[in-house]
Amino acid sequence: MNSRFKNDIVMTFKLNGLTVRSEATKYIIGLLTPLHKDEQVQWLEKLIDVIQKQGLLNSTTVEKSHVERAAKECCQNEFDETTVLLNVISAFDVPKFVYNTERKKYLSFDAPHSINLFGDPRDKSEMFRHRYAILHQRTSRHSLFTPSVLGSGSTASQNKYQLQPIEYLLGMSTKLTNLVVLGMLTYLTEGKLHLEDMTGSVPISLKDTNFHGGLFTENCFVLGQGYFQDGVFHIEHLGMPPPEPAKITRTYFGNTNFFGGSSTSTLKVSVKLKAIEEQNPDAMMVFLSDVWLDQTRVMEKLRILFAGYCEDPPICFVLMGNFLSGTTCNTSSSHLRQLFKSLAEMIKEFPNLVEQTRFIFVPGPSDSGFCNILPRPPLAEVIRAEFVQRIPSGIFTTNPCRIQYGTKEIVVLREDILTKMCRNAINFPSDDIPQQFAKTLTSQGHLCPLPGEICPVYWPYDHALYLYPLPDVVVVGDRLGGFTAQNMDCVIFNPGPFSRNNFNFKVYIPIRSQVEDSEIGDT
Amino acid sequence: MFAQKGVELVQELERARDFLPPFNEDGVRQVLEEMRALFEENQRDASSAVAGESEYITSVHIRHCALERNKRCLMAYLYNRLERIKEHRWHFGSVLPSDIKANICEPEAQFFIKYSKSLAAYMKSIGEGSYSLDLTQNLKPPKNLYIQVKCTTEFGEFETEDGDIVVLKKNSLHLLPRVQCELLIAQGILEHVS
Repeated sequence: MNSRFKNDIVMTFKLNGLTVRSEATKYIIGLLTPLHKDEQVQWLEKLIDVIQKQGLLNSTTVEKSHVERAAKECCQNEFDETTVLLNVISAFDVPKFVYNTERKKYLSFDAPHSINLFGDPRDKSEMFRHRYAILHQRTSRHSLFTPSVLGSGSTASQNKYQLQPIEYLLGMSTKLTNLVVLGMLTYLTEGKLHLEDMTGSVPISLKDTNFHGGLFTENCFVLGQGYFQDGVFHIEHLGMPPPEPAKITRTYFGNTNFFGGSSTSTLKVSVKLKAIEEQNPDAMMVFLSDVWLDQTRVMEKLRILFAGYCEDPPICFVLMGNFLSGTTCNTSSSHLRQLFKSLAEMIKEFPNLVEQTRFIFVPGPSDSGFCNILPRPPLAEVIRAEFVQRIPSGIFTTNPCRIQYGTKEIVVLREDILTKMCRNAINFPSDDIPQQFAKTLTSQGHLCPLPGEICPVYWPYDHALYLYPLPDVVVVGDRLGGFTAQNMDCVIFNPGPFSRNNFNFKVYIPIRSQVEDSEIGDT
Repeated sequence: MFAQKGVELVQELERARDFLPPFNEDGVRQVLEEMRALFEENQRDASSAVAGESEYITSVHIRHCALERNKRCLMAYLYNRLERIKEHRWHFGSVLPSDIKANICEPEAQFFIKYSKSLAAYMKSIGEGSYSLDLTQNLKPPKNLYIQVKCTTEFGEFETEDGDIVVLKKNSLHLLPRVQCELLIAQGILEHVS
């Protein structure tokens, strides 16, 4: 009986084009022997199905480990472990994808843990190259730059531009007009702006420039239109590269999971999660920035906040730093530890919150521990230990971090990025700064298009700051007052400093993609 | 000329006879774009032709021919790719080598899985009881039942159909039933020595 069954197994695998290892066969026999004959056949087919769908096989040989995994997945079929409702993804776990210009595809870089925190000089140039590659492929796909289609009417073939590499400009001695160049703004020599791309750099003149919307800073990628004469590129129109909604990006690159998390395909398309999300239409996420735990007034207000949400717990509270009002000194670690402990004690008074709500902590620029280079690791174990012990649902994560709730993708950053951008912009726009800021972030496809000395980034981890494909929400904790802006189906908002203004914060309602302003007034 | 891009796609596939070229997503998209433009123009002209302006009819006809040709080119491209993917199933078994896998697009991978599943189901249904017939074996009539093979990788234990266990070590020589090792030869684990 046993050997016959064994033959059956080997044969079934063989018909499916697979060879099975003898240990694996033994394992399957052990699993399936107690079952009835018909059931055995069914289970065997199910197993093979799962093995083939997993896509882990490199050759036709099936190892025991494959069978074990498949068996596990078969049993948990009802509860899919890759679809978690709320998932906080640390910046160091964000998958790295590199655009391959030859194959016009995003290929996944090797495991993120093999990347060094401190890269070598090569990594710095790679960082800009990768940013450029993203924007270049996105721009050249835009309808303004694609060659006009044969057979279309005369109207469509007008208003078409051709992107030129800087190489082309440098090789010309005559005057060239109506050029469009995508490049990065840099000060290669003191006080003199250059435009740089993969092929070279050219000095630019911004004398008669018409600036289109956006905050242009150094290391920003821009589209310049103008004429080239005597070795200088005179820009007539300067604009941001056209952004692209996430939906369009996904039609080009399929369902690859760019966002992070355990699932291999994007959770955007998960019907199951969408259904769970819709079951709970009142779900909320509360965002606070600059929560100074050392001030009694702040603690009082937090108590009011928690008491208010106690009856109807939100999905999560996202508390962003800085957690101390003063500057960091050598006692701040122990001070913070004490403060988190008392915060935990306070939260414990609301058992509803402890059970149903997650507390997510994002460190701020001047919190103790690490220097302020993005991405910044979470607060130290010493500081958070006592809190987590009391409130197990507390999550201390990196800055920036990514939060996936259902099918929504949320990126959280605590950095005075807008302040810094305004300060370093080469042309300060007069109207509606939040909208310009939103336009800049979506166009750049990056959280922080600023030069390294103003907002340093770990070069090899630059991909953690990408906003491509665009997430649903970007939360930027800036010291400037709160705002909400929207561009290309991407909501960008700033909760505003909680402790500095009227204790204001923002509430995000995922199902309606809506952001509500709130504040705790004096009572 | 209309339908130039579509013909290029087919030519590209034809030139790469002995391997499967990467799925030309860009090319396909360009053809679709052209078709969309043609269709829109045609619709406009057709409506004026219906209104009574007969001079448009010729251009509508030409565009329609171009549309049809584009469609045929796309179909030919997709169909022939699928034919080659089917061939790979017979040749490599149900797991494609990674270099081929990189060249196929997601729907094609889905097709491959479904194809190998239905092939397995069919092969199972041919035989009586537990004796099913593996059609992918002996595609050419074998000269003898046993063949001499050399192992090229450190494979480990290999179990033959009758339950014997053979330890395949690197550079070791074995005399094995042809049926058993065909798949391993296709995968490059064993090498036939004559």
